[in-house]
Amino acid sequence: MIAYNMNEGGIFGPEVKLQNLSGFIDKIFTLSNNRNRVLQLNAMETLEAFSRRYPSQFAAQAKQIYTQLESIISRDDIVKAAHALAIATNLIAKCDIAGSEKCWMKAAEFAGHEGIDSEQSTVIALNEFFSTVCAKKDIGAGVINCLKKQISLQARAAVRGVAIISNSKSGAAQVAEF
Amino acid sequence: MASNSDDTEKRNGILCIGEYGRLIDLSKSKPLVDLVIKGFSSNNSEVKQAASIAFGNIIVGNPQHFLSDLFTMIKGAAGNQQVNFVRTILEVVKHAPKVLAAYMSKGLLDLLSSQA
Repeated sequence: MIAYNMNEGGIFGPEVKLQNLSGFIDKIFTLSNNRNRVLQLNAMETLEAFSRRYPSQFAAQAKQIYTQLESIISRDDIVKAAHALAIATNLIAKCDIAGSEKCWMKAAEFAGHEGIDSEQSTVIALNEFFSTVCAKKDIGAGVINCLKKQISLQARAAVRGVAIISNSKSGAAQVAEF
Repeated sequence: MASNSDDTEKRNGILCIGEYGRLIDLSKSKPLVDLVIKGFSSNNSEVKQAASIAFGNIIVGNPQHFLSDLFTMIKGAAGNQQVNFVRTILEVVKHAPKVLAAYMSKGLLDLLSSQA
């Protein structure tokens, strides 16, 4: 059913309009901590699809979701972190960005992971995340410094993050000092 | 390893210019490109490596402009210096492999076979 639903507000309306999705948030995050890894990933994928297609239904809970995502954006599990970044990106793009600041820092810390470059979906998720945040708000100097500290010949995601920020109106001046 | 903080800063700066060059065409930003090219003659191996990677990324930003520069540099480099450019080509292969097709007969195969 999810696959058949188009983006909310698109030219073509959804085949079946899903309602009250925010009521599933707690259950989805409980499943994302289930012992079964397939369930964990399915739960994250579901929330990613929901937040992409129906972001407005999560607007009131955006802060709560950002808080949950903070702990998932870590080096412990690259795949789950990529899903969490994608969910945060969907919400930041369409909902209030307030409350997502810790996610920015966690993403910057995560970008220093040397294993990211081999995971294409994670690279894309990180790039999209930084692009979306920069388009919406000035990214703090703390995030830029965190990325700068982690630059190495191996941790290329950190370099890419700095490049994306420097390419944005809000971040250009801050990165120029570097 | 980068020998001191100055070299680390240089390495990081060069890598950032490279990634920026992949997003934005740097053909009209000669000073930035020159900074990267200067890195090829550094005594520090990490700065050299960063320059190789960064120049590859800059080429991806505008292959038509920078690929001819690359092959001019390869031709002018001593045999033991040419190895630096293999990494540059690797970056282009990773992000925009098709643009190299025209250069297969213009020195690319010779470079790769000499460094194999």
